[in-house]
Amino acid sequence: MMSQRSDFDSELLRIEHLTVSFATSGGRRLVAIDDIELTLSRGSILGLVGESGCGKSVTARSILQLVKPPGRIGAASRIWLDGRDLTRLSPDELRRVRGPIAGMIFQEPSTAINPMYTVGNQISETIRAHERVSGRVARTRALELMSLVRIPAPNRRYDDFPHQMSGGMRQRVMIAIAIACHPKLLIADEPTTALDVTIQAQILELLTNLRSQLGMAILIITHDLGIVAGMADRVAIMYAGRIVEQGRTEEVLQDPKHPYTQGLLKSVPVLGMDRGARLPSIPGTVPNLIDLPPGCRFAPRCASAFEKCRIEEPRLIQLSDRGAACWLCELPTRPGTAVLG
Amino acid sequence: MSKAALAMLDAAATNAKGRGSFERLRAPALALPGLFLALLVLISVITPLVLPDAPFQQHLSEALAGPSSAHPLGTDELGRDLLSRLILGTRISFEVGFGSTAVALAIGGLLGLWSGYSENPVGAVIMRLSDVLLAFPSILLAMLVVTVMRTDLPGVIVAVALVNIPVFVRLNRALMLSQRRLEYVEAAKALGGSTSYVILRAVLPNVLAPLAVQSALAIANAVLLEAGLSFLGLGVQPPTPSLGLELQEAAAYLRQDAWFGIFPGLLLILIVLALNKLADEGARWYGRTDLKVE
Repeated sequence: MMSQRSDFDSELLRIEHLTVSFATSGGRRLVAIDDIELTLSRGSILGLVGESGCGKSVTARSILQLVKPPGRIGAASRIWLDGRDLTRLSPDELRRVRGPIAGMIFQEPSTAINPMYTVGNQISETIRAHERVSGRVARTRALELMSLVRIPAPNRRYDDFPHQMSGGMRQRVMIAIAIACHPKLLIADEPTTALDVTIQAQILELLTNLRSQLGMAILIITHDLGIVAGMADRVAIMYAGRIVEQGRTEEVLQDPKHPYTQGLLKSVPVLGMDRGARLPSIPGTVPNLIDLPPGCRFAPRCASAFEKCRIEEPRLIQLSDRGAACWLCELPTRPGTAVLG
Repeated sequence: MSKAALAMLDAAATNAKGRGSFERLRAPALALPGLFLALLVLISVITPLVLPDAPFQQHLSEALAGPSSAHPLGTDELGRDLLSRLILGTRISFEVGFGSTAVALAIGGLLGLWSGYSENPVGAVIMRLSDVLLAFPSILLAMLVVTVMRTDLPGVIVAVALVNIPVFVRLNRALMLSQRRLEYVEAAKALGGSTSYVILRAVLPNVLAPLAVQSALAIANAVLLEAGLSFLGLGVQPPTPSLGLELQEAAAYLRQDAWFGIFPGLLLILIVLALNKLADEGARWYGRTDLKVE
């Protein structure tokens, strides 16, 4: 695959042909992620959006090779992070990537932090797992991190156990742990889903600030288009294991090309909308990944589907800086249309 | 136990109300067997230090005497003071109980946690091997090991440990399987934790409670097994006393001097009962609080 971007060096993460399949009890393989491509440049924020079960979390986990069995990453998959192909690293080399190169935060801060240790201990332990520093230095740095993620009175909170903290504070601790070794990439898997709305806004603001303070790139996994609109530079929309549309956030949200993206945007409630009005929804349900329809995966639910959609599956069709996997986009609107994949 | 001690425990439980879990712990239920065992450990450690010769001094003229002021529990067939022999015997029981359980916990625990965590096929081999060990009747296995090794304290400890190792392997593997899919384990891994870090630092502290319960049961099991081995002449050798050895010696004189048999038997029952009660209450308490995070 060629890169049309001139600033190739600015690329931090490049996912090529990522396929993840799960062995089912029936002996068949369920393909949860089907040959996706994704790039993320240094210091930028990419939102990966999709509904439950579309494969967005599996994508996040497969970057750090954390797919749990019976899941398996396909042999042709390549995950280039900071110049290294993570799919080819030994467990020990991977261990040195997890933390210093890429950190990860999870959806549920109350279960992702070890309940048996104080939060300060967990932050400094993460530092000491990767760097040879004394306990005192680690403690000082942990305290700095705690103020960086705006935990008030870090000195007092250092010796708190996770259960003594609120959900928002715990997520801040989780973030402090994840950025303890100054990663170049932060993977945030639904970081605010378990939090209430005001805390959610604070955490998102914190992440955005950290991006500019530390210059790290963020891959944020979410089902909430509002989060993407608020912070992501680019967005990729996933549907049933494929990326159906990607591009700069404003462009995608203002002028969605794929009918699925259009449907998602229409189903977002707007403040002040007529109370009696029915919120539009996308008819039907996500197809069973074991039994996918022929042609486009979205065709059975798509109002604009035509004959070709039910026969042949569209690949991501590139439109300058953005792309959509929809045959509608092939109807030439501009001369430079190219088919990728 | 004195009333004062009970009152103190009550006060401690009341003070700890804010801590949540402790108040639900029925303190006396756990404290009684606990204090009893602690007392026994203390006595059996200190007394032989203060009176090292008492269990071995023979007074043949006083052989097989019932309880008296000079010998509160009477004497054995060689006129040795039964109380001091039982105290030393209890120490042997505890040494085997704690020693073998510590060995089994360390070896079985590490093997079990590791085989539950890694997808290494060696883990499956370990599990099948421990199945084989579990299939052996424990007394037979212990006898076999003692015979091959030596019939002294270290030999007995190893033999009894070997019986308990597969139990700990299975338990630890099960505990690891219940934990390894939890997010905190994944997070520890995602942040670059090595295998030993994830197993020992992240998971182990979270499974200590069931391990403690199983350890209490294992100690009780070990105490019984040691008594059994000694009874069969395969434990510690005379003149060193052991509860099983005393029982075996007393068996010949049950008609003449029943006390000789009753006291070691009673002591054995009480020790095992206390350990089992401790494990039961521990399990009940654990089941109630279960270390849930909100």
